[in-house]
Amino acid sequence: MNRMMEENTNMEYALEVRGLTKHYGSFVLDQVSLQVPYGMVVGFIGENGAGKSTTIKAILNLIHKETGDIYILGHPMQRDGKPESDSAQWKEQLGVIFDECNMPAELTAKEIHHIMKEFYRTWEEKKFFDYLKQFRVPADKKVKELSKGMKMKLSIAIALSHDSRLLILDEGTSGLDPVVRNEIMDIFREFIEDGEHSVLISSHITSDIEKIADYIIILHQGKVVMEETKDDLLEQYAIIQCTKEQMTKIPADQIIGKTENTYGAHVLVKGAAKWKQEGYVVDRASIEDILLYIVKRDEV
Amino acid sequence: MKGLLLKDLYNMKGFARQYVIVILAMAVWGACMKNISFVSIYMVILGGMMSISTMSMDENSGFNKFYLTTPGGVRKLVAAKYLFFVLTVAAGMLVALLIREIAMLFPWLNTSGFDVGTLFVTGFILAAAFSVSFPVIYKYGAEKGRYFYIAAFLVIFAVVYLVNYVAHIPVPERILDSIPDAVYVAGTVGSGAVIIFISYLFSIRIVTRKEW
Repeated sequence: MNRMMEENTNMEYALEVRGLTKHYGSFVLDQVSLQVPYGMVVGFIGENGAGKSTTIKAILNLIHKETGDIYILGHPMQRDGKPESDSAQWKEQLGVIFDECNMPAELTAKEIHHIMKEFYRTWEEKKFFDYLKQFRVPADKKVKELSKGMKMKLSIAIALSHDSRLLILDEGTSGLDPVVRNEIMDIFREFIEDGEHSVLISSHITSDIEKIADYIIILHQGKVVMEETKDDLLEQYAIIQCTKEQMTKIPADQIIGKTENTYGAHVLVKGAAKWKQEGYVVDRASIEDILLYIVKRDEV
Repeated sequence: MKGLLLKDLYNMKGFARQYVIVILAMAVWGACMKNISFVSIYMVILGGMMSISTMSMDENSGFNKFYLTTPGGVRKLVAAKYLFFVLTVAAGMLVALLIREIAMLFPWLNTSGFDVGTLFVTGFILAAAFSVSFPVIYKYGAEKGRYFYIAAFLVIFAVVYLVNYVAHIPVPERILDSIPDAVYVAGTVGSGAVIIFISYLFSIRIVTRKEW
């Protein structure tokens, strides 16, 4: 009964994580909470070692979380906490792309199709071969003979060729050239258009995130340090170019990050319009800038 | 489960040429030695080794991690590997029997050291060795699993040696000869199945607790 109630209360998000904690030696994934609403692409960014992959592994039940609740498509994730047949149904609707193609090297795409047909009841043969054609992945070549980009495209074709409602990508576009990445970003955009599909994309290629994401989550040293819609992020945050003296006039609590050199300072602040009105030279802050300033702030 | 078995079969297909060469080379060697016992036993071992090879391929590609995100689950993942082992060992035993039948057409070949009882005892020893190796592979990886597999064989042979030659507890050959093949088959298959099932339960436990 409790589980049914839990499931019903978590249907508004394709993915919801509450208070996820995990220790790995000195690294701590500290009370991570995030949501992926339906019909949205959520970009999950952070420096190497920030905990993105650990978070995704915990979401997928591939590692054991210490605390926290995870709901995928309304279902609470429990590692063997319920019969597999129960979890099987909703896993049809989950597509996962890791940073490497996880198919054995000796298989061809055609053989992978025969295998996936057995894994997923909703497997769509035509869709799969159409994607292979679109991505120019040869169906008869062995995985070991494909380039890294081709392997990633194969993984993406697999994830999109069954009834996925939620796609989770852990650096899933790494190794792809900009043209193909662009092509894939368009596919993801199409994927969420009906408002019933969602994407969580973790990537260190912030330009991709900036292009595709509706919502951005920044993870730093195992903590969520920022989560906002992309539009708010790009509209609100700005880099002030000023002298060191001018910088002292900016209240410390409004400085998100800063860099100083002999000639002056660059300060990342929130509320771009306000600072512009006050006569500061204000530049647009990209997502990469925001991430860099946050990381540098804590290094100092 | 069918998908997982297909995956392993496709994987092995990639090595089909090497396996055929090995089988032919062993057959020639057996013919030269005028004895097919070792060749036949080797076929069974080769069947078992295929499972470790597929586990190694799964490990290198990170396939298991992917599989656990699909509608399948831990039990299917592990059960399919054990089933693949049973099938490949059974196939190895069939090939061994086939070799014996062919060898019997050539009177100059010695087939006396090889019978159905020997075949099933070999299968049982293999099952025992793999029952130790499988959970170790799931826990520590295929490379360490191979060492355990060799170690398990050494332990089994050491026990036989100790019983026979050190403790001087020889089993009279006539007793062994008097045991009907059916008893060998039932005994080895039954105890082999129990050992494999216990190993399967251990593997489930290990994979369930594993962090990928």
